[in-house]
Amino acid sequence: MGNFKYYLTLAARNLWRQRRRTILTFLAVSLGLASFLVADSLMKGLDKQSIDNLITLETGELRLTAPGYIDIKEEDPLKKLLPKDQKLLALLAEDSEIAGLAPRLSFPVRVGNGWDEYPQEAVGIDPVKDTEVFKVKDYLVEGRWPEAGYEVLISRDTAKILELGIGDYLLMTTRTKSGAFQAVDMEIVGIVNTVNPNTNNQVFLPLAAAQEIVGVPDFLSQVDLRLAAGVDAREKAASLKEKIAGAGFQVETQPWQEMAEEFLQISKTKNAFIGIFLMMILLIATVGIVNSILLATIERTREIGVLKAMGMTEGNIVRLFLVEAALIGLLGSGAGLAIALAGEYYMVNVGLDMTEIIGNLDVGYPITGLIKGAWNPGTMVGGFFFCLLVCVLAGILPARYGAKKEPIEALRRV
Amino acid sequence: MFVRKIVRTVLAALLLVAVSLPVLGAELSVDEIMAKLDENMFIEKIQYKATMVTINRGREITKEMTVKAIADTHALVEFTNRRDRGTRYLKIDDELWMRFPDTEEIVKISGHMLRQGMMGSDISYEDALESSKLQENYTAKLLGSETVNGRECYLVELTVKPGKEVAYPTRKMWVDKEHFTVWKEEMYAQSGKLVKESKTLAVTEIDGRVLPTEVVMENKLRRGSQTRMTLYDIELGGDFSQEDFSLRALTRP
Repeated sequence: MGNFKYYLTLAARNLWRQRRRTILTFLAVSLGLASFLVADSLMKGLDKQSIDNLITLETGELRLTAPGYIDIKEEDPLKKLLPKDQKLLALLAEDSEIAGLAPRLSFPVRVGNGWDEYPQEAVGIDPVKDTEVFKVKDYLVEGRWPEAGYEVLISRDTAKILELGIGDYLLMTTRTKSGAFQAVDMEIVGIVNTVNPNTNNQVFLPLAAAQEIVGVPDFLSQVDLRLAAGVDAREKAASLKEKIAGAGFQVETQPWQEMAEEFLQISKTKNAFIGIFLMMILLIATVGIVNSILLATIERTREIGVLKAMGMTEGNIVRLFLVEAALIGLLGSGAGLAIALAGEYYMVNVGLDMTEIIGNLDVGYPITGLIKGAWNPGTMVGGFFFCLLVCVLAGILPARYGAKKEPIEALRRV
Repeated sequence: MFVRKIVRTVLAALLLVAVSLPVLGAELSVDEIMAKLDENMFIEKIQYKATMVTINRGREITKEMTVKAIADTHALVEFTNRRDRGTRYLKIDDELWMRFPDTEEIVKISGHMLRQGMMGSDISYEDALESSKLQENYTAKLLGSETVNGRECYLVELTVKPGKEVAYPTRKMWVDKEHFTVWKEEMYAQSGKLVKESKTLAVTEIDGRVLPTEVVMENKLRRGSQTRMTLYDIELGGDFSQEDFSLRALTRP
């Protein structure tokens, strides 16, 4: 122990003596680790946020539909609908693992101002229940949530393209279930600007109006669910289907992972690329650390000669350099961790506003605007020890190389 | 004696007039009007060439096409104007296929495309290729008489029969009292909103039928948008059968 203290004191003195080099190595370690951790946090945050946005604005955690609906949704979504049965809704409401349920009716429409028209998806919502599952209402930028009658909520993009505002009428055309042409004027009561581009291509209207417009008074496209905390969507999808079948209803249940399959696949591929990018950051940091320690050791070959001449053994010298490397690794990694903590705290709580950078472009992620980071304790611990290890390993080789030299030979080197 | 003869003659004449009046000025019942309209307008087999001019906010697009159809179940449309030459559509019942000449590829288009405007026009595939008997799908009501294009017309309102699936639940038609062709038509959405209005600009007599050959269709939901369709080289009947409407027909050179 006393021996270790001796090495530690000697190492600390050496580091202090070589202040400039110590600072350089310290900066390489701390900044390298910090930038890796913050970048990782941002990527994790982006992923988490886009999944959150998908669930809270588009899919819910679990969806109930009529059997076969998923296959014909794109072709003719009104062909296979779910009866709006109070018993079924009550069964869902009683389930303690279900935290919210939103009955919805979706169908394709063309929305216009009398001059231009664009395809969108109309979503009939229960004005109260929908907010139990979805957060669309939180993104209201003007007006109010549709409540009853032929009221409609549109996205800011749609309002801008059609040059319409609150109080104006949106001309909505579609086909009824029987294929008849339908055209209605809907009063715009609210404008939203969500962070999910898919949601911004939807128009929201009261469920009763939607049902009347397409001629299906007692039917729904789906019941979207929010699950209680800790309930696994996949497991619940299976158990709920069985439970509902037991009560005499035929439904299909779809966890969000299935609805977002395409998104998750893209996300997986992206994460692989992001992984490579993060590895590159780590590699650059590692090269910086190794370079810094290697040089520090090699430049001190002469000093090694002196130490040897004074009677230090090879083992003593290697140990001394290892302690030095470990010490600077510890300090650098510690500081890197502290910087990362501060940076991540900012990223998690405040976030980066991407609007200025990317606008509302669809970048493949259902996300726009503010991007937040996510805490990554596992990566922090891993990163800390990795940097420490890199420092120690980077110190070993040159130390052993230097220590093996004869004192005279070592002293001859400048 | 002479006076009595005159009175008798007058009375006889009056009687004759009285008896013949309902025949001379006979207003047909609405069912008779519809039957005659269907008789004139329902065509089992037809082929024709057509020019379609779409005007949207002053921008004019012209398309040329040849059409071959059996009732409202089978149709083959080929565009012949320079830009779309070789583009073909095949409709069998409610299914629609399209063939692009550049890629020689056949694409099945989902059913709801039948409801969209044909090649960006105001006339949907349904509008263009519809030829079912109106009496089968609609209940008619005679609203009165009006003159359109200098022709005396019956104004008839059609309402979809329960259980029947049609594009327009309500239609108003101005039917020529003599030729039983349609001079004007208004098509309404389920909500009662006027969606489209078509006006016949010219008619031609073919094989004893008087058919519209120049029609302008106005989209009432899009201001400044209308399509004029002119039919020529019309041939009723023809040497083709349902077998000629196949995916192979789409790719035939």
